Amino acid sequence: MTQKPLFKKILIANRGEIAVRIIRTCQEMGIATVAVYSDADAAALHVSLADEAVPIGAAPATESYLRGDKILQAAQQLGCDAIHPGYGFLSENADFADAVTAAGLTFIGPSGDAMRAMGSKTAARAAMQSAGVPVVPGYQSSDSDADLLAAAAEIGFPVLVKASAGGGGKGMRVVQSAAELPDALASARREAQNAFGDDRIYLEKYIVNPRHIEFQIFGDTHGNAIHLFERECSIQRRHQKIIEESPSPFLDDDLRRRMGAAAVAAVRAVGYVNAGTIEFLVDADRNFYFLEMNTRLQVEHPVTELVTGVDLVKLQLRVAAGEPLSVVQKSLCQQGHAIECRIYAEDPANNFLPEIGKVVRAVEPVGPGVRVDAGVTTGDEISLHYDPMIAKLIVWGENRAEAVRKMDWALRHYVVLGVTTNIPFLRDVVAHAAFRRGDLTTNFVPEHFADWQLHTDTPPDVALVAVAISDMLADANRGAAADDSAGDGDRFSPWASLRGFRMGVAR
Amino acid sequence: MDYRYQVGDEIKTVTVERKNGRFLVTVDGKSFDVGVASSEPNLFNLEIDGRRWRTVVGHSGNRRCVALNGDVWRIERVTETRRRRAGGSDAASGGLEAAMPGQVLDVLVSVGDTVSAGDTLVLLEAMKMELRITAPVDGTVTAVYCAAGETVNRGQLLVEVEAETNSE
Repeated sequence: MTQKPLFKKILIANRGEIAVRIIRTCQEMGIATVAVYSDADAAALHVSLADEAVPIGAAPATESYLRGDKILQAAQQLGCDAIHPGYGFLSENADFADAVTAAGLTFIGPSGDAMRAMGSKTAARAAMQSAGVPVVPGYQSSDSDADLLAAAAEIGFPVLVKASAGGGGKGMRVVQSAAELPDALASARREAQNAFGDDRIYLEKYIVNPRHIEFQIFGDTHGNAIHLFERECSIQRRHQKIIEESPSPFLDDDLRRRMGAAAVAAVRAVGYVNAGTIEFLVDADRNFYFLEMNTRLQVEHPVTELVTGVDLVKLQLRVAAGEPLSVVQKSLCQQGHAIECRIYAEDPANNFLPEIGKVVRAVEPVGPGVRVDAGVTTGDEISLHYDPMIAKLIVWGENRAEAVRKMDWALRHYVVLGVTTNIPFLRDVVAHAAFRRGDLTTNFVPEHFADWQLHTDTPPDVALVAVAISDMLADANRGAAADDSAGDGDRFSPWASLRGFRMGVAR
Repeated sequence: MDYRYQVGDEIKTVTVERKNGRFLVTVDGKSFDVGVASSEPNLFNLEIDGRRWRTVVGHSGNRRCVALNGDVWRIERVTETRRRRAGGSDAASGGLEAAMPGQVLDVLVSVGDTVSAGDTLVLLEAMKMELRITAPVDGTVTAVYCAAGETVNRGQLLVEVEAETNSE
């Protein structure tokens, strides 16, 4: 019955929910895990769940989670035979992938060369064009202002100025007219230089009100390539996704089949191995254009897992171990409907600026078809060093309407106290008529929620009743504890003596 | 026992008494006979006239948050010391708060310094942006609550400035 594990011990070069998620699959497969952590994360969830944990440096990512040398050294010292990079940090760092492989360990992801081929947006566009995958009309041949001006006129305004090495919206500018272009080029180059150390830029036709629809793909070392259908990721703020779903309410079978075929052609064209994502823009006339390829596991991978039934991390490990893909294209289908909401510590009423602070209390929703991938829980600190994502809330329903209702329920039952979160905002998005209709574009948030504010109604009396009772109990407890406490009024835990407290309620 | 809470601009007094294993709570003259069960810290199941309310209450200093029916309410407990401080302030003076979470780069003033409107008091860095906290009025620095290198939350009080009183 028992199979020999694919790997003996895997180091997870990441933190937060994705480290937790990878550790869980490794545990299930009988593979030992090593967590790494910065000084800020000594008490983090991913550290407590792993079999072993290694400190790798100070809180800033440049001194810890981006230190490939220290991470590789730790993996070798602890006898790991593979490293999983998660997403972000070192996951798309080709030199790190090469170093891991050169050290005789397995990098769970694509080769460094594949990352290099797809990492430069201009090189990726060229590769896709020659594979017959449609790309957004654009210009990438020259960096001179005169050539770019001429090219912009030919493409037609509005155009988008983008950083070749870019991502996350950095260095991106929408330009409406020729007069605005020189300034936009200069500032985009500056921002690209600061963000990526590379000031190369290129032009693209600006698709007005597009949908962002991506395909999950997989390739193995035996020449097989599959796609696991699409994820609709149009709901974004600050150029970052906040709600994703599968299937996309916009695709019909024909468009889905054509986009899937293009995605698989892209994988084959570059001989890509392991998990990746082909991002497309789709315009109102159902034209689709290759946007970029992400050479890693995506944040939003759970919606694909819920509709296909495939554990993508498990598949990553199998492919990395040299096994052929265990699923074939024709056996895959999208069953039901999945939606993911990213729960962030941020203030949607204040430009979605991140919030920092201690999560005084978190209570996650539990129920049929509800999955919570959390990296932060009660007592954890959201620091300014990392992404302020608290968790991903993913639901599955038999159809979209059911999934939407379930998401509404789950959001109402997700309690996070101590930091401002985007939960009330997400509830309003999910309740919006345009969202319910599936009328989603990347302009959704600015179009429908530009001036969103948290309701300012007065709390119901029951809220005051609850607070006063909790204060009475806390005060009583503080009085009792006063003898042996230093009296730190802010950080006391009033609840120690209340465990199992139960009174006055008929059972 | 009386508890006072700031809700919006209003101060509400809530009275709580324990009676026969239940709690008698009065809010704005309305009385509630409340049964309380708590199987987990901070998590209360309230029973009022047979109806159940699942609530979670968070404490951080005087700040209270209550989760109820999917909403989170922020309520400030008003204690004696807080009222005294609020009473001592003057409309034109004021506390200067961090507009976003970040790190204090530099504190340019100390208590007792005379400042002019527009003077930079604190330099804050957040999300790779530099923010200047400037004096809103001519006056004197009466308190400094932060130091260089410290991490601060949005809304956290950094400096207090008392306006200069001009005799006419």
